[in-house]
Amino acid sequence: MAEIRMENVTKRFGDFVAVDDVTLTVEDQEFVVLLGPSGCGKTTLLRAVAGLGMADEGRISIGGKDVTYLPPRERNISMVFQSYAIFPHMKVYDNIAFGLKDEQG
Amino acid sequence: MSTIDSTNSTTVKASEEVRAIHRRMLRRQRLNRSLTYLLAFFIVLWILVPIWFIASMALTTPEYVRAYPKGVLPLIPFSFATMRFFLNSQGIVPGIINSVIVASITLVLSTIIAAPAGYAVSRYIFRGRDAYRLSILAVRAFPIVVLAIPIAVAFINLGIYDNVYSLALMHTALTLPTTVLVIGSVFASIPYELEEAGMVFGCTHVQAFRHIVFPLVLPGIAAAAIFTFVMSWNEVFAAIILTVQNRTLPAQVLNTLDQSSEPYQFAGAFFMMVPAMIFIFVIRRYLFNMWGQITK
Repeated sequence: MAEIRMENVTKRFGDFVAVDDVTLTVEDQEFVVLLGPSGCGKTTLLRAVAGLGMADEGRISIGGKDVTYLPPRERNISMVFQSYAIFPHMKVYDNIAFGLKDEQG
Repeated sequence: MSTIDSTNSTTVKASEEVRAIHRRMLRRQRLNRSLTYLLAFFIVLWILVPIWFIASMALTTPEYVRAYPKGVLPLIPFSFATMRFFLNSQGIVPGIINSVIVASITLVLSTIIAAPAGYAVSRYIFRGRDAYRLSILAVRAFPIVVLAIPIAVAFINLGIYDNVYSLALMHTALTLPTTVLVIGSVFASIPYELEEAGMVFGCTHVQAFRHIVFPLVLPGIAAAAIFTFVMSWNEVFAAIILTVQNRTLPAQVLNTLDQSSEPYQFAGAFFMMVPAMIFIFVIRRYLFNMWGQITK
């Protein structure tokens, strides 16, 4: 586990501001729930942390390392998606092992 | 106690009414289903009877084909004589070879071009995406009859007229709209979240495509490729306009149809029909998928 730090994170889609200037620190080992109505930016913020949609403004660091512009694979994180995202063409073993394989050769 | 009794009795009454409604619905459902089956039966009959008749004529002796009234298969002798006669006719074997060459080239070209196009159309929103999708269909909006003469003139000017390879180009252009749309729908059926999950778990975008999307779309793309092959195999109009000496099988058969005997006609029809039927049977799952129906 590591500390996640978000500073002034903003994400826009065209004119629409999905995440507006969020500053939040999640301590090491801390359990945090983001709660809000649909469309309020929970997923967008999580995607910014995961690297699937980069923040337009602000900085994100995980464990003291600035990851704002890193691709998802270099952030060493995990994410459970809203709808299931298991790989249907793989066995259970391969699904579990997928993220653990050293090199996706 | 009394309140409980009264509620109980109302529940019983209500459930009887509900049961009556339920019975009526069941009856109507059964009626609907039997009507559907009846309709399906006649549609199937309407399609299968000619096929059976053609197959019967193709798989008997030429004497029985010329006879009148004609019989159908278990009632008349089974024989490959008609088929042998057809295959030995002039231009048939070269026509088959040409057809296979054209259909194979069309399959390869069409799939190579349509796979990335289908991925882009289904995954990305880019400027001109809708115009692009419309322009794909526009190729089919012009009837081939209208396109054929200018294309024949262009082919003559370019010196690639009457050539199986240039006909394959034409077939690629004709099949691309369908192939792009089918492959696009195959890609669209794979949730983008699977790719994203792969990227979170340590893949680059290209690796996520190779390890997750590619294995999942492979059967669908194979189905689209086979479908392309069948479309090229069956295509006759462009083949007739664009070739003279190097005819494909349908062009050859159609060209000699009105001067040929009945056994030739039936055997030709049967020979043209069989590959398409086999291929459609193999890939029908994906065709249903294409129309938005989920079948497993």
